[in-house]
Amino acid sequence: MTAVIVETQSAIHDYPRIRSVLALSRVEARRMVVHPAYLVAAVYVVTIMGSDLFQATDNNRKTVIETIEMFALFLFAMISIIPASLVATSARRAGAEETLSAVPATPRMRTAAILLGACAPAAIATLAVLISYVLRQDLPPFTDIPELTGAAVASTPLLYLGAAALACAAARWLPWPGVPIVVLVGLVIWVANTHTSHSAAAVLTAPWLAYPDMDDANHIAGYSGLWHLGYLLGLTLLAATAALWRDDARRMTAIGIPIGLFTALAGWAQLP
Amino acid sequence: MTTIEAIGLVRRFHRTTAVDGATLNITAGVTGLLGPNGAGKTTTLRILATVLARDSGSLRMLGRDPSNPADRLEIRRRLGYLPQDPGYQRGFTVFEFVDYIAILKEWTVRRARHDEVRRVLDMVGLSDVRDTKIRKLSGGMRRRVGLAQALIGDPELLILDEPTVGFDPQQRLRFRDMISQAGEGRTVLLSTHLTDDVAAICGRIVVITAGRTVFTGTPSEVAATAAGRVWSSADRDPAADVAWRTEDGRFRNLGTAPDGAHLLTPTLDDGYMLLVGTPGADEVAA
Repeated sequence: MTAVIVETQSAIHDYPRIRSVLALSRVEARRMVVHPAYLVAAVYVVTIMGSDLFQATDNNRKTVIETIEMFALFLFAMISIIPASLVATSARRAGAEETLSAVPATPRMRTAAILLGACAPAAIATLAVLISYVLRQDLPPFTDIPELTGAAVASTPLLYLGAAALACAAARWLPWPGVPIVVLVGLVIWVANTHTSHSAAAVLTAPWLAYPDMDDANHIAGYSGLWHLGYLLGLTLLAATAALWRDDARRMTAIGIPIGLFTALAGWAQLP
Repeated sequence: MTTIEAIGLVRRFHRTTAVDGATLNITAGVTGLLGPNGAGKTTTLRILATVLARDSGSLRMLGRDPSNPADRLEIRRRLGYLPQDPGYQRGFTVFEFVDYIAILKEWTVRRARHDEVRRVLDMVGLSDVRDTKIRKLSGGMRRRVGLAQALIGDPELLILDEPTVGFDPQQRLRFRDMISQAGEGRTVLLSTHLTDDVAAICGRIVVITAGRTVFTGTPSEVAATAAGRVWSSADRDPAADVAWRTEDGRFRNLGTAPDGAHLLTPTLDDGYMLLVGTPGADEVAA
């Protein structure tokens, strides 16, 4: 069946609807945080860290720092596409769209709730990175792992929110099985390629990269951490706009154009 | 007061016309939508549930026009809908699913919402399995979960598409009781193939065939359309459109009765059968 009623409710401003989005976002947050993708990865992290701690008797704190940063800033951030995508597509996969089409909440509200719900895993990851940041404070700089800058800490929530927004956009625009995996693999290949390219512009403009200067071989001198943060924020907002555009084209176009311009400006301004 | 006033509803899917000028006038109480497979019942209910837009015709529900976004929102706030094939998200428990729908129906205060979810689960007899994953339930129990979500907020208008599919006899009797209660003071529109359900609980019946309304009336009025067209005979009467052997070993024949036939009192089944299953049915009107 096609040609269902298309919601164009941009003119409807109603306080209960905002409260519905907030209440729904709490449910979506819980669904994402307890998603098996995270749980499996968490078990893996605990196992790795436990094993390392058991073997390393002289520098346990460094083991904890390294594990937290590696997983919170890379592995978990990448796989956060999967829970967000599965939550965003769950109604369609379950064939529940018709039931949800007859309720006051619109698809736009559900998308907004998922985007807000993604704040929960983002907050947990940011807390973990902050702990790592504090643990580093009275230690001399490490030579074999990248320095954890304030900008990298500040970018942590954006990695998760960006991944969730990208997942929602893919779910809204490419509603087919396997798309989240394709998006995830594409993102990984893109980021991995930029690190071997030795091009500062390619590395800095890679999507949702917390550590542009990951190691000495790829050290990028003179880029603006603040503008890089702005660039990541712009990408995140653009992905969120794309996710919401499907159900609210006019308003999202108006919002998306300045966000796009800002992202382009930040992408250019961050370059050395 | 008229809850649903539809005149000449038309809905096409490519070259197929699923609803072809259906006209409905639904008031408070329980109304049954009867019709053969492919008659357009589900498409009609989807239009009334604000899931599908109509191609033409006029429609007012609860005093509002569903093609207007603000009106549609207000209708949805006062509507409960059970689709023919409601899906359920994997991994949700019964309580979580109904709670999720309650949030989508703007029940934002947690305690009040949970009380409401418990109320509707109790109504459909699912309180004991509220913490069970939906995927572990039987088909009939899943159907009741769907019914529970439709009942949230005690909606003024309840639209149920084949609500008793998968129910065992005990569940059907319980459903009749529940719908009879729900129909007091509000409007329930349900589609079904089961004429005994309709006879038991529906005050009015709308018969649809080929996307058009062919009859609107009470169950006894539907039965009355078969007056003089049902007769008994020792053998199958060749003049009958439909005939079957009954408990007493004689044949019950439907069609144009021959002179001198032993006429029987028609039932709802007889009337329905003659309305939808014989040539010229479209010409019968209440």
